[in-house]
Amino acid sequence: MSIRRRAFLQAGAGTLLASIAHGCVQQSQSSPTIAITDTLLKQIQQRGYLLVATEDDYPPFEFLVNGKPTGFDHELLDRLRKQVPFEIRQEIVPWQGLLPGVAEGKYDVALTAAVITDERAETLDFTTPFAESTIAYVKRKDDASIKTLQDLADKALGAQQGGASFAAVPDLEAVLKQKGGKLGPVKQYRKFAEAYQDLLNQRLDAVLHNIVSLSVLVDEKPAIFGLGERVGRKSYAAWAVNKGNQELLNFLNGFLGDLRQGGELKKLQEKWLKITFDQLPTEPLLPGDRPLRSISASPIKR
Amino acid sequence: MKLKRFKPIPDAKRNLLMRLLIGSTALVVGITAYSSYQVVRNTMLESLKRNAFLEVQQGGDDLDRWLSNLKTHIETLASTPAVRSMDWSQAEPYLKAEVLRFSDSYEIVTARSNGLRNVIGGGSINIWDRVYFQKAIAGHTNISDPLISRSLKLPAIIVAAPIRQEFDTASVPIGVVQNVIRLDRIAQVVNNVRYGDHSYAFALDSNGSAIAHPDPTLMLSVKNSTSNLAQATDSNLAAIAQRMIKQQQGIELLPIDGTLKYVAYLPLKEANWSMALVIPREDIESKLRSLDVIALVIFGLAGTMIVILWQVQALEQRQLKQSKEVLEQRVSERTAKLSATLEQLQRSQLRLVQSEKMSALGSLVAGVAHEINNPVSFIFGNLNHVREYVGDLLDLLQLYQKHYPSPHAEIEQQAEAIDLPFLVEDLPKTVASMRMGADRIRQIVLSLRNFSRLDHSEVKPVDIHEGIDSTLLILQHRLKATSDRPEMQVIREYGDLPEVECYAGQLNQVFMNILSNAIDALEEQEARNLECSPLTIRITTQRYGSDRIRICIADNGNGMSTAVQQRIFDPFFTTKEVGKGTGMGMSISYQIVAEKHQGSMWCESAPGQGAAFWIEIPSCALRNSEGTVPAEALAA
Repeated sequence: MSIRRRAFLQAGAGTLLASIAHGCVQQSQSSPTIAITDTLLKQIQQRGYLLVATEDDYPPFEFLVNGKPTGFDHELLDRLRKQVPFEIRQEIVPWQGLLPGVAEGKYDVALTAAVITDERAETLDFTTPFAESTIAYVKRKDDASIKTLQDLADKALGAQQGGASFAAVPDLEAVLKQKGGKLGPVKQYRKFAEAYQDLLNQRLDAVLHNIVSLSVLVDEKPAIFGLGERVGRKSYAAWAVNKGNQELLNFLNGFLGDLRQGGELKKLQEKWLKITFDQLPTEPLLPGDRPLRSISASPIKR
Repeated sequence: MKLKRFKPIPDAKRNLLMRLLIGSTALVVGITAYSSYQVVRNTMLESLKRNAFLEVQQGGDDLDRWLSNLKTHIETLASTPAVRSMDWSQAEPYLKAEVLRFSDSYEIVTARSNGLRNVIGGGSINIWDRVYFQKAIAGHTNISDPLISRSLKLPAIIVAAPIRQEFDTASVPIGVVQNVIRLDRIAQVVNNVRYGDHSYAFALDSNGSAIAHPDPTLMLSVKNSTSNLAQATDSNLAAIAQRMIKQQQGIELLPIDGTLKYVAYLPLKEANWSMALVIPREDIESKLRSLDVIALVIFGLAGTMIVILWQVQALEQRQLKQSKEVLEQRVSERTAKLSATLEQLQRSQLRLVQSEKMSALGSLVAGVAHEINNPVSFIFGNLNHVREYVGDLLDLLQLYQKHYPSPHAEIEQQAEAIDLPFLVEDLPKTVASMRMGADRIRQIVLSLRNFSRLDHSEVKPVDIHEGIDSTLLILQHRLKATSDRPEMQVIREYGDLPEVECYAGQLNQVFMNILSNAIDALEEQEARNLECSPLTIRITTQRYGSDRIRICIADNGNGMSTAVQQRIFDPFFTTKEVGKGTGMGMSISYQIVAEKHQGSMWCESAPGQGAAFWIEIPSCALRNSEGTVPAEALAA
């Protein structure tokens, strides 16, 4: 056998083995489309992956169907996973431990619809909001006595005990007073389900809750409930990261910004939140459309 | 000499055989491996397909369970007092609470047997034309195909159950209770049925319209009324939809949307619906990738092994060839050596025989010469006396004639008879002639002794010319003219040679051989009747350098061709007729000159130009190099 032919055969065998090895090693990898800075990549590589925390029961953002996590945030997470060159691990944790975990650095991102509040803004940084968390009201569909916000004057209202909905009552009172009406009785409930039950049983005339939850409720029970107007200051839901992690924040903002510009965010809102928000701010705002920076410059003592 | 070689299978053939063996083994192994790979692959694929089908089945079971629950729920509602009362004001709050409690429900309403349905908040809608109502009022709890709710204007399915006055299922229904279910709830259940990343599930109703499909445009909504998959443009999809409408089940590999996909489908039990799972081929077959990779690796390794085997075999072949070549070379070397030895042996034997012959001949000649020498000496010695006595007697006779002029008549008569005057005249001549003959005999005997030199078989300084002359004397008879030819002339051009230390007898043999050949050549020429220049043999001797001499014996015979010259010193080479020459003369001569005397011998000749044999030997080297060599060594 001539040396030349042997070389050919060896080269052939080598190529074959190499291609096999290559075939074994190579995996389908989607090309990243978001710019990631080197420092962020290094930061993620230190842990080996990006660890995000989601809530277990917070429909329509995060919830379980047949034991499988689903919802608005999960769909966003799926999209994010396809666009990054690193692994993203998800931990499903109870709401109580979620934000503190991120503040402690246990998790990289609170991938949940966390309402931007003054208190939270002290320990966390928020992405651009992807939904409103403003308080609105819901009424019985066949109740013709309530048509606008001022019709709520003297009506029996339900709100969650110690919740954001109850915190919005003073705002409503101010609005009603402005229109010459006065606030009716406000009943506090532990669970909204009980409030809805009482609304149906005509013990209440309206229930206050955030607008997303209400729009989902009305979408599910269009025959019995009707969605009312916003009653309080506008507030927003966003993802949260540990305070000062600007690189990660920029990266997530880039992802969300692309979704919003491409119209994808609106579709996801329609699909999951049953409501769309045309004029979401492009930066995280505190309730009442107050900018965050003023807070961080001179923190308000509570 | 030729050795008998055993005959192996030729290299090329053996190579081919070996490669054929390797090739066919590889082929057989390859085919076996490939078929087993196919069997394993098919088994795995079947199992994967079964798994995929099980996945659909599980999804179907989930959906069935959910539908079954819906049916149970509505049947339970149908038997509650509030519903049985058929009093809407009584039933409405209860049903509203149920709607709130039951997450999948848009609304729960009742309809009277005339088809008039209550609407929340008052008013009524006639649903007499709805199939689900007709079935329910006929007494069957049933689930409708997707439709747009007339009160809510939303896509929904409706679970309807008959309301009976009593628990007796045979009694005529007094109305229908119906749960309006969100269509997207089904989609949620169906969409959760997955098999791999790129698979999707869909469900069709009894007409082939999509109940749940990831493509929202196919779904029933207020905007697009209905899209029937059984009439889809994709003929494969349409065929599947047809089978699903016919409540068949199975798993098939079909090209859908341009790529091959597996479609697993089965009918549901609780409704006339069917559910299908579309899985891209890779999703199922990617599970086989590890098998494929292993197969590929094994194939690659096997290929590499064959290549290596091939090369090893080629290497072995090469080495075998090399060692065979070496062996053959050795054999031929040995053979050459052996044949050379044999040749040498034969030559030695011949020389021995010749030498013995010569020795015997020499002894004989020497003996004869010795024996003849004495009588010849007597004759030669006495001839002087005979001549004197004859002269004396003749003188005496003349004195008698002078003093007795007239002798007795008887004396005169006798004198006349014997012709006395002639006798007196001739007798001295006769004696002289005898003396001459005796002298000749004496010389010949001397020459014979000189030639054979039995007494001088060791290195001695001799006169080369004497040797040549002796040889010529022996050959004298052949030089003489015969009836066929004139006498051959011998021209001696002797130089001033010193006495040469040599084996004189052997050198004489050389001269004898060359001169005999020269005479033969001249005789041959004469026999051929060629032009009649005098036949001459020219013998030249001369010094060459300080310590060598050269002897040239040239004839003007026919000469030799180059081919003959090249072989002239070969043993057994002769141009003479069979029986005339042994072919050994020149060969032995060459050996004597070259080996015994460290000299050289060569021939210069051309056809028609005569031949000249040159002998060059050292004049005194032998003593220096070898000293005295015993006669036995010479014989060898």
